[in-house]
Formats: sequence, C-alpha cells, structure tokens
Amino acid sequence: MIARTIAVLIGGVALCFSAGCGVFKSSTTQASVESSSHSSAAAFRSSSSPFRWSSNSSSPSDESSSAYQRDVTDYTAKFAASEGDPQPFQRDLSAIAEGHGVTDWEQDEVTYLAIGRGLAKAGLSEQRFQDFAAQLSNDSQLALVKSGYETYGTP
Amino acid sequence: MRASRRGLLALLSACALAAGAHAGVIEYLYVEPNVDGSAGGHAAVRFSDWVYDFQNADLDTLRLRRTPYQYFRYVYSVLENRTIHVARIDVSDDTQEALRGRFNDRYLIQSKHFAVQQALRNDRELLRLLIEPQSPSAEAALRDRPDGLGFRGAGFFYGGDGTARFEQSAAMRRLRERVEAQYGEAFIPRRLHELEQAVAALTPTTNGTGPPSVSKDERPTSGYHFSDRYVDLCLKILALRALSDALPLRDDARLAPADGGFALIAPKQRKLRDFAVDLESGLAELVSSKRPDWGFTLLLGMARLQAIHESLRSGRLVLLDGFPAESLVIPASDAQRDDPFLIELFEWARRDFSESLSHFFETKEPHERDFARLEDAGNRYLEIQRGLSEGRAIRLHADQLIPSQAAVGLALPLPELDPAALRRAESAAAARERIHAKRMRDVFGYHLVTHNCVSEIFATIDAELGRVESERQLGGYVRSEGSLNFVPRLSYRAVVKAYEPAEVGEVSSYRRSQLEAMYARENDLKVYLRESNTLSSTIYRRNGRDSFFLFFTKDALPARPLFGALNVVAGAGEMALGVLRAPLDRGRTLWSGFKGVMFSLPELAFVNLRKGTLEYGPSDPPRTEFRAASGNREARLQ
Repeated sequence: MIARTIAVLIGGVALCFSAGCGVFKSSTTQASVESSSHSSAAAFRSSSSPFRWSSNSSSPSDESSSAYQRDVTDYTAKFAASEGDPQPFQRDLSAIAEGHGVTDWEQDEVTYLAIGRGLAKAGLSEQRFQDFAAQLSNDSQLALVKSGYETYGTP
Repeated sequence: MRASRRGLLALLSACALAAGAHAGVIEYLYVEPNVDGSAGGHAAVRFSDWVYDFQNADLDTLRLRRTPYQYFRYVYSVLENRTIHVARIDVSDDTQEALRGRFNDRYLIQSKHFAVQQALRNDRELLRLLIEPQSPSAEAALRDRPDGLGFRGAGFFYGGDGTARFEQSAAMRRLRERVEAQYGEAFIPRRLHELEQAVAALTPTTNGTGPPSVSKDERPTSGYHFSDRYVDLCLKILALRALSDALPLRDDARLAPADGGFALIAPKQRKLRDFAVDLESGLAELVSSKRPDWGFTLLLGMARLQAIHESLRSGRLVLLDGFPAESLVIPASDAQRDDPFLIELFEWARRDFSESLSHFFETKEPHERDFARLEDAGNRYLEIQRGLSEGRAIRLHADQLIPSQAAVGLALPLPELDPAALRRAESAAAARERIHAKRMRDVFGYHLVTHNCVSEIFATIDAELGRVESERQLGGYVRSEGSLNFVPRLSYRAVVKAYEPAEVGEVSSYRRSQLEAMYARENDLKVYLRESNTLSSTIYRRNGRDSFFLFFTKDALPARPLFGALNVVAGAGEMALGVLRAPLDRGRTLWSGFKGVMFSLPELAFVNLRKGTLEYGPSDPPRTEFRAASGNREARLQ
C-alpha cells in the first residue's frame, strides 16, 4: 500500500512536470530565447559552458590541439567509411573546426594529421586512402595526411 | 650494478605495462533529483575532463551533450544543489578510448543530423523568399534569421543599410595587392563574375529526392544543400567585393578597450605583427581554396587583420566583437546591484583573459585557435567589466565565440529560376523537411521510460561492446530494456552491482557541504534549527526559480512527512495568493504554488525530490568536490 502510494506520488509529480533530462540549449535553440533576459545564474546554467574550465593535466595549447584533433579524427573516420563528396565533408569540417576556434583549417597542420588518423581509424585500403586524401589536399598537406595515417595507433 | 639497473628498469616497465592494462577510468554519474524537469534525477558518463549526457532538445528529442566536467559539477552540485553519486570503473586504455569514441561519434553525428534539419528548413525558406516577389528582398529577410541563412561576416564591412564606409583600409589594400601579385590583376573581377554566374545557375532539388536517413551511428549522406550553396557563393562574393574595394572595418564591429590589460608592450607588438604576417599570407591562399565555404573565413580573416593593424598603431589590443545576436542576456538590474555571482564570473573571466594573453604571447608560433582563444576570453572579460561598471545588460554565450556580424540590404545576385520550378522545389523541400523531422523524432525521440537520459547511455555502451564484451571489459552488463534501470537512481545501483567499480563516492550538494562545515565548527542543534528551514537558513536564499516551501527535507528523514505537510500548506498558501495575483502576473504565482504543493506531496511518503536551487553559492572554490565513500557502497544512496 505504502509502495503504491509512493509510486503514485512520484509518478504523478514526474508526469505533471514531464520529468525529462534537463533542457539542452544548443546554439540553434538559443535563438529562440533571443531578447529574453535571464538571471546571471540561470543564464550560466543555460549556456552550456561559457568559460574555459582548466583541465587537470594539459597545457592550454595541448588541450585545444588534442580536442580538435580528436574530433576531426573521429568524424573523418565516420565520413571515410562511406562514399562521399568532399564538399559536404569540408563543410562539416568547418563546423567542427569552428567549435575549436579554427576557421581557416587548411592553415592548421593538426587538421591534416587528424584527417590522416581518421582515415587510418576507418581502416581504408591504400587505394581508397589515396583517392580520398588527394581530393582534400595539396602536396604538402598530403604529406601531413600520410604522416597522420602512418602514425595512427602510436602514442 | 648495470645488471641491477636493467632489472629495475625491467621491473618498472612491467609495472607500467600492468598499470597500462587498467590505466583507463570511466565514471558513471548519477545526479539526485530536484524540482521541475529533473524530478527523476539525471545520469551521465565521464571520460577524463569531459562529461557526456542526454538532454531534452528540439523536436521532442534527446540530444547528446558534451561539457567540461568542472562545469557539470559546478552547475549540478552547486547551483542545482544536487548530490552527484560517482562510480569509478577501472578499464583498459582501449576500452576507455572505444567507449569515448562511440559517445563522441554519436555526439558529432547527431549534431550533423540537427544541422541537416536546419539546412532543410533553410532550403524551404530560401525558396519561399524567391517565390514571393512582394518580399522586400530575399537577403534582407534571410538576414533576420540568426540560426538560418544569415550572411555571417558581412557586418564587419557593411552597415544596417548595406552600405560600406567610403575610405579604404591600408591593410586591405596591401592584401589586395598581394592577391593581384600572386594570381594576376584580373583575378578578383574574374572570380566575382564566375561566382555571380554560379548563383544565377543554381538549381534546387526537384527530382523527388527524399531527405537523408537518420541513424545514431551513420552520418547523414545529405550532400550539399541548395541553401548552403547559395550562402557559400554569396559570402565569397561579399568577401571578394570587400577585398576589391579595400573596405575598412566598421567601428561597431570591434572593441577598442582602454583597460590596462589590453596594452601591448614592444615584444607583444612584435609577436602580433608576426601573427599578422602569417594571417595575411593565409588569406592570400584562401581565395584560391577548393573548400566551398571560404567566404566567411576570408571575411573574418580580413576583419581580424584590420583589428590587429589597429592594435599595432594604437599600442592596445583591439578585438572584434564576438557575441552573436542570439546571445543570452543577463539584465542590467543584476549588473547594477553588484550581483555576487556576476562578480565571481568577472573574476573567472579576468583570470581566463590573463591566461589567454600569456598563452598567445608565449607560444612560439601561435595558431588561429590560440588567437581565437584570446579573442574569446577578451570579449567575455570586457562584456562583464563593462556591464558591471556601466550597469548595463551583459551578454553570455555558450560555445566558442567566433565573431560573425551579419548585414542587411546587400545587393546580391539571385538564382534565375522560373516561378513554376520554384513552387515545385518549395513543395519538395517542405516535404523533405517534414519527413526528416519525423525521422529525427523516430530515432532520437524522448520517452520517459524507453528513451531517456539513462537508457541512451546504456544503449550507447551496448552498441560499442555488446553483452559479452561488456562483461569482459567492464566486469558486467547493465540491461536497460525491460527493467527498471531507466530510473537514474536504480541505474546507479545496477552499475555498482554489475561493474563492481574500483571506487564509489559522491560530490555532495552545496548545501550539504556547507552544513557539514557548520556542524564541524558550531553547535549541532543551533545549526539544525537555523538551517532546516528557508526562513532562517544562511545557506539558501529564496529565488524566482523555486516555488515557496518552508522546510528542507533531504536531511530530515524521520520528520519528512511532517515537514512535507507543512510544505504542502505553504504551497497551498502561495496558490491562494496566486489566485488574487493572477490578473497581474498571468498566473505565475498560482502555478508556482501548485508546483510547490506537487513537489511536497512525495515528502508525505518519505520521498524527497526538492533540494532548493541557488542563484549563487558563496564559498571558496571549488565549493564541492569528490569524496570516496567508506563502508557499504550501496548504503551511500540511502
């Protein structure tokens, strides 16, 4: 009886207030709250992470570089696993890079090393690797892609 | 001696290898419930500095979120005042990387699916604007959608009416001369002509192609959308026009602070000058790039180049204004009353800016991301500083700040399409958008029992490891389907039982942490009597987020039903007041009182949900921290 009462009470509260899992405010959904104002704490809660929180171990440079590299590697691996036109890939890369403060990703060596690592992670054949890499890079960039490809898996 | 040293080295290597076999750690986090949208509690997974959790999002979906652990801890344990239970599971490096990779893949892929949904909406809206001749102008209407087809970056050079300043920028002239020297004097006009022709020839998809499929583990094969192509071409045109006319940076696009922290001594000026040289060189290459979206990058780079040259001339760092139009806004009233939370935010921003400055100027060859970090930190610091000193509203924004001012009234070419083709394309685009939204709901849709923040975590682990590998690599298997493990609290118990964590513990809520400190230095009874209720508590301050209640019941198990009854009465009182106030506050007080009653009802049955939330928790950082549990692991949840 008591258990049923508890279940009904909690269930009622949960259903009444739609016990979800918090509310995600992405950069797109933020647009919907434009011009609304928030208390400082409420704005902080809603803003995902408006400040840089230091990591325990790395220097800021290593931290930003490795986070960027990881995202590009992961996404390249997923992209390369299926056939794809390079232009959407480059646009996707731009979106990922912007999240790390990079807009001119062609000028950042980490990008090409990470692409190489991603191609290795995807387990591409040598031929498919050559085709994919050639679509994306010039000679010097290709050297970086190869370097990333060959060193994938080494610490 | 040499042999013994070799032996020692071998031993150390063996130890390192042995440690490496279990060098990875995964933490399962269970966050206790609180009021409103978190009555069931919450769950997340931590890998090193990052936490992955699922949150309710657009289209009634659950969206995977990635946040820094310290931010997650601060928001949930301090501001939300909720204890976080932690189960640390030792795993191999490979297992940790495999699971992190799976969560990160899903995070990136899901973000892409949401971007596709946005692109499909943009396709439809662009076509609608092209169909409607009475529309003032396609580009002006498009600009009003900050999350849609905005011409990002045009606002660095073009004002509200689409016009630019008359004079020329020396930095832009130099860049133009460099481009002309590199590619020929006819390069810019020729490229402009080609781009305008490409816009005129743009055609939307009308052949009945359906929207891309939606999958948690497969990136969408959506191709290159009509609206994306249009925006990319227009941004390249705008960038080349700005370069051709050597347009100067608009005053309202930049920040030129008088603050002493922005002064540039000679060595810093040299570093910045070197960076400008590299930037100019990169921009000259960008105009011939094969990537389709270099227009915005060129606009931003040219704006930054001018800001840096102004910095060098003035001896003070000049930055582009990085806050987007859709930033959250903290009201001026908070800034005017010296809100302590804001003052602490300001201290964080100041420290972050100082570190970013040191980092940029001490890095041998700084990259764009180092400059972007400085720009981001400088913007946030200046925003709060000005808000506090001038008592004005303060903008706050998630994610990296990338300056991207849009502009209106730009004379841009339009695709040359006949009205009938446009209408067919619009109809097809609307259908694609609708079908894709349904697929998004089908795959990512939220359901209280079957697709919630817990079930999705175990589904993701399951997708990577499966049952057999989970048992081998994690020490056990947690079933989410067909069990009560969808409840966050029960899921934590299941994790502790199945995975046998190497360590369990908790990050206590802010109130509990403060109470423990008070009990340690004051009389227990006095502390209890003072802190047990919201009227005399020194830890808790009533705020607009919480409904009215009298007693904290989390730490009052025996008296919980009694306190709960009094809280019900308090909530009912607020409801009564709400009835009287309803014409004035549109029922806000009435609704708050109703919630107060509802969240007090479980207390009658010894169940606590409400903890009270905080607008600010005064104390020394970090305020709350992890403590390993002693004794029975599961007992910590009682």
